[in-house]
Amino acid sequence: MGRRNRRYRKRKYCAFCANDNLTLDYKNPRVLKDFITDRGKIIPSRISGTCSTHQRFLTREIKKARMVALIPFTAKSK
Amino acid sequence: MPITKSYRDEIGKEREYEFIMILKPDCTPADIKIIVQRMHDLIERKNGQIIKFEKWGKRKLAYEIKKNNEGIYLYLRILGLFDLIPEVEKLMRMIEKVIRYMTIKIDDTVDPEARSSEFDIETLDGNIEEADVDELEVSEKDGEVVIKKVTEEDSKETEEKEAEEVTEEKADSEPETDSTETEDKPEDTKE
Repeated sequence: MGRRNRRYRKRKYCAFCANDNLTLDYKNPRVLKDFITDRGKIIPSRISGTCSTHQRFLTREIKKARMVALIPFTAKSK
Repeated sequence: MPITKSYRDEIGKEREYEFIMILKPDCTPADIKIIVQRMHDLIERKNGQIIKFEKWGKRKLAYEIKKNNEGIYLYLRILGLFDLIPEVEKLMRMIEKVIRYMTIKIDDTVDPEARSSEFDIETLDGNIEEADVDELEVSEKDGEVVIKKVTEEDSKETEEKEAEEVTEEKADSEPETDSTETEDKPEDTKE
């Protein structure tokens, strides 16, 4: 019943499983930027669709990248 | 009594570290050379080895560090034993030009003879490219991580490509939006 009325959504998939060329590395802020919000928070896998293995690596790499100021901890408040 | 051996390390194997340091933006080439020279001397003394040295150039920091909004990034790969890194970090804390440093262990069973060093202190020049590096791009090639600097021209090209991809995606997603109107379609019930 409830299933019938549910809207069709494109299935989320893990970007790192799907694309081998995407290197998950803290030195690669271009990739990491897609997985943080405007305020600098890490986007949960529930929303981004990243698999749990890659989400774990991703979190670690984001935290390293923050240490060397490649990506922000938080957005600047004006 | 000082610790002379780490029991975790295999005999004849060394550890490989990645080392990043951020220098103040007003560093001259001579300053950079002195800093690297000091580091090189220390590592030599500790029987370690610098196997790679890279200058990422002047880059905008994501946040302010010690009142600096820009920094010069230097990237090194070091081979050494466990007692090397505390010494290196101690040196980094003493040099005022260094505003941030970070060490990461990549591997702890590296055969030091199998790895050749690309780094030579004699040929080092401290010149930092004038053009500010916008972004870094890392890709893996035969197991080695390659770091490519993306200049502004490159980033424009990729942006164009991305824009094309986005338009394609939009075309794909059109039927999706239509599906909201026809909710009772049997296809929609499937997940």
